[in-house]
Amino acid sequence: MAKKTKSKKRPVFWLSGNYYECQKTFRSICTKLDNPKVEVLDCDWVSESASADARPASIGQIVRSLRSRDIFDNRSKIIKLKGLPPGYTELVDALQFVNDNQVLVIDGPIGHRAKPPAKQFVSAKNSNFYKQIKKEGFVFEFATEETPVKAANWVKEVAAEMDKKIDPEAATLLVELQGGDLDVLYGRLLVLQDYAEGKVIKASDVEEVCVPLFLKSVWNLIEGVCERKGDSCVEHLQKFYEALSLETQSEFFGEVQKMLGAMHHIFLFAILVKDRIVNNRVTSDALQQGTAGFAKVDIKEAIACARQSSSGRCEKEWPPYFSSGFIYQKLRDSSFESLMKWRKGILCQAFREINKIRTICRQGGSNDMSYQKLCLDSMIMSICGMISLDEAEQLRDASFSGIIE
Amino acid sequence: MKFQIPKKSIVDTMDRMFEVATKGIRADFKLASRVKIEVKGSSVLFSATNGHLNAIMEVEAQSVESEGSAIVDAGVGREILRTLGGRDSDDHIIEVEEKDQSLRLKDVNTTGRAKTAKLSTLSQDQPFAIKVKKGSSYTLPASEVSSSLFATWKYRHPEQYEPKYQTMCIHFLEKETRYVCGDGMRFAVLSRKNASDLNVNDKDAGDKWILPADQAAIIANAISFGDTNVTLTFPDAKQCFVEVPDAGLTLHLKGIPEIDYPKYDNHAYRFDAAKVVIDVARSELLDALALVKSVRDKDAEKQENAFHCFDFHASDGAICLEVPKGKYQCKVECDAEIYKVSEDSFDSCYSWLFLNELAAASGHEYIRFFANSPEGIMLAQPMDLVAKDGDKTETDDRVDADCPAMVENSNEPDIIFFFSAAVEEEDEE
Repeated sequence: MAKKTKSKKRPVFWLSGNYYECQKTFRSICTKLDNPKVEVLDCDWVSESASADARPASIGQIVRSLRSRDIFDNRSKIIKLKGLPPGYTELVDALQFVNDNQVLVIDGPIGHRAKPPAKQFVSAKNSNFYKQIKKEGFVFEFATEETPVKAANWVKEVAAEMDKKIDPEAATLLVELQGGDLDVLYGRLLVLQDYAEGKVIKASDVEEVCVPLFLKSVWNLIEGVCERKGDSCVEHLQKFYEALSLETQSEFFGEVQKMLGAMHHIFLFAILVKDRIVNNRVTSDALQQGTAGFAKVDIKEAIACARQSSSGRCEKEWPPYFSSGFIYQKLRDSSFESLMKWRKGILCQAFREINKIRTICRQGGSNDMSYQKLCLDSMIMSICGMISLDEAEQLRDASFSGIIE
Repeated sequence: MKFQIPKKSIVDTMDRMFEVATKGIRADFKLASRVKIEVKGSSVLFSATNGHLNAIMEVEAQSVESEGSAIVDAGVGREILRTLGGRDSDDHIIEVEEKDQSLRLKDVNTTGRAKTAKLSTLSQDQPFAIKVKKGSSYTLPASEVSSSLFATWKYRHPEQYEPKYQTMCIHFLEKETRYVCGDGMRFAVLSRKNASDLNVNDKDAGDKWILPADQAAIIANAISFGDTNVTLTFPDAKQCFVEVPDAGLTLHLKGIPEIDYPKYDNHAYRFDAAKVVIDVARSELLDALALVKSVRDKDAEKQENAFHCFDFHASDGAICLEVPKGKYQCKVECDAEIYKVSEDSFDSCYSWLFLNELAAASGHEYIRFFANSPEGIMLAQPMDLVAKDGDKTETDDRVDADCPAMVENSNEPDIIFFFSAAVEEEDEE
C-alpha cells in the first residue's frame, strides 16, 4: 500500500509552563486541525491503590491510541497526555506513528514527580524521548514565574487578550500582592475580568478583589502604628482576629508571624534611614543612602565563598535587603513619613518590642492562641503609647502559662 | 429464620447473586458484596445489587420452620455453601438458621461427624424492590441470550474511553437478533435467527437497545439457564428488566447511558464493497498469528493493551503476515484462496489482537476476509464452506466472485467482524 511521505517536522508538541500559555497554544493547534477529536489521557502518577478507572494511562494505551482509527469518527485526532506516563522513554518508538491526522501533545512539565515518598522532580531533558521531540517536533517551555516587571507586563498582555485591559498601576499592584507566579496571576485575572465593572481593570478593583480581609487589617494596623493612633490600631487588630477566626490555629499563628515580620521590616527600614532624613522629609536620596550596602547575605554561602577566594574575602554581590519596589512605595507612603517623625530612641524601643513579641510567639506562646492575642494587644498599646513597656510586660507575665525553652 | 433447602439449589442461586453483588459495582456504592436471604411462606428470596443492577431470585425451600431475613457477605457465603458437605454432596439438604446475629449452616444428610458452619450476618444492605414496568418486550431462549451476550461483551474498549465504546447494542429484528460490541476500531456482530418472529416496534429497521458491556456480562452469567426463556423489557432507554419466570429470577438494570450507538450496519454487511475475497484455514491462521505474537517486543508486552501490528499481504494463493521491523521480526505465509473481485492482491497493516480475536471467536474451519481498501475497513467472517457437488459449486452470492458459499446452520450464530487498518509509520525520505 502507498505510504505517506515524511515531512521534516512531525506534529508532536510538548507544552510546559504556565497554564494560560499552554492552553493558548493547545487551542491554536486545535484550530489548525479544524474540529479535531481530542483524546485526553491522564498520565500522572496516582496511588497504587487507586481504582482501575483512576489509574494513569499506560504506554500500551498510548500506542494503541496512536495506531488506531475510529471507524465511526474520521476527524483528525489529538492525543493529549496530561503528564508523563511511567516508562515514557519507550514512547520514542511510537513517535513514528504521529502524522497530520494523529497529533500528539504532551501537556505537562518536562519531567515527572518521583514515586512517593520521594519528593524530587525527575527531569526528562536527558531522555531520548525529549531529544527526539525537540528534533522532530515542537517544544514550548513557557515561564511559570517572572520578575515583578515582567510579570506585570505579562498580566497586561493577557488581560488585553481576554478583552478587558488592565491599568498599568493595577497590574503592578496585582503582582505586588500575588507575587510572580503566572498561574496565580492568571487565576486572579479571571476573577477580575468578571468582577471589574468598567471597561478597564483598575487598582481599586485589584484592592477589592485580591486583598484578603486580614491583609487589609494588617495594612491599616501598620498605618495606625506609624501614626501612633492607638484606638484605630486596637480596632484593626480586632478586625484582624475576626478575619482569621475561621482559620485553623496554625494558620492564625502563621499570619501573626507574617504581620510581625512586616512590622519588623518597616521599623528596621525606618531606623536605618532615620539619620539620613533632614527636617523629617522623606526623600529618595535619604532612603537610598540609608539602605546602601544593606544586603541579604547567606552566611554559609559567604563563608564558603571567602574560603575559596585568595584574598579571604567574599566578592559576591548580594541582593539588596530592601527591594527597589519597597523603597519606592515608602517614598509615597504618608504613614511612613509620620513614622520618620518619631524620635530614634522611641523607634528603637518599638523595634525591640516587636522582636521580643516575635520571639515569644514563636517559642513560649507558640501553641496558645489567646496568649498570642494578649502579646499582640500589649505590644500595639505600648508602641502607641497607651501603656508603658513595663505595664505591657506585666500583662504578659500575669497571663503566661507556657514554657520558655 | 429457619429453613431447609437442597444444596444444589442454594449454591446455584448464591452463584448468581455473587455475580451481581461483586462485579460492575457503581463507583460510589458502598453496600455491594452482600446478599439478603429472606424467607416468606414456603419460598426463599435471595437479593443482591451492585448499584446499577438489582437482582431477586425466588427459590422454593424444602421446608420452612420460621420466617425472617438475614444479610450475608456474598463471597464468604457462597464459598461456605459450596464446600459444606464435601464434593459429592449436590443432592444434600442444607439447613439454614439465623441465631445470635449469625447464620448457622448445617449439612442435614451428614450422619456421625458434624458438618456445620457459622456465618456472621451484616446489619445493613441497600433495600430495593423490583416492579417490572411495561415497555418494548422481547422473549428469547435464555441460553441463546446468555451465550450471545457473553460472546460479544468483551469486544468493548478496555479502558475508560468514550461511553459508547463501553456499551453494547442488542438489535432486535423480526427474523434475527444481533449483538454488537466494539471499541471504535474493531466491532463484532453476532447474529442469531429467531425461532419465531419477534414482535418489534420497527418492522424494517428493527429495535436497537443499549446495555453497558460490563453489566451485560453479569446479566449473561445470571441468566445462564438451560431450557427456558428470558424476557427483556425496556420501558425506556435508561432501564431494562430481565425476567426468567421459570427460575424465579428478575433483574433490573438502571442508569443505562442514553447514547446513539454507531450505525454498525453501514459497515458490517458491506460485502459488495470487497475488492478481494480471501479464504484462509482458521487453524493455519492461528499458527501464523502465534508466531507473530512470539515476536512482540517483550518490553512492550509488559504494558497493558500493547498494540502489536503486522503487515498483511495477500497474493498468489497465499497470505503473508510479516513483522519487518523492531527487535524481533518474522514472516509467515499460509495457503489461502484468493478470489479477485476487482483486484488481484491486497496489502495492509493490522493489529495482531484483532485477527487473533477473530480466529479464536468460533470453531469454524475457515475465515473469509472481504478486503476493501488498505486504509479502509476489513470485513471478516468465520465460516464452514459448502463442499463441491461434482462440478457444481454453490457460490457466495454476496460478492461478485466465484467463491464457495458458506454452510448455513440456523442453530449456530453467525459472527462478523469489521476493523480498521493500523496507522503505519511514515517513510523516511
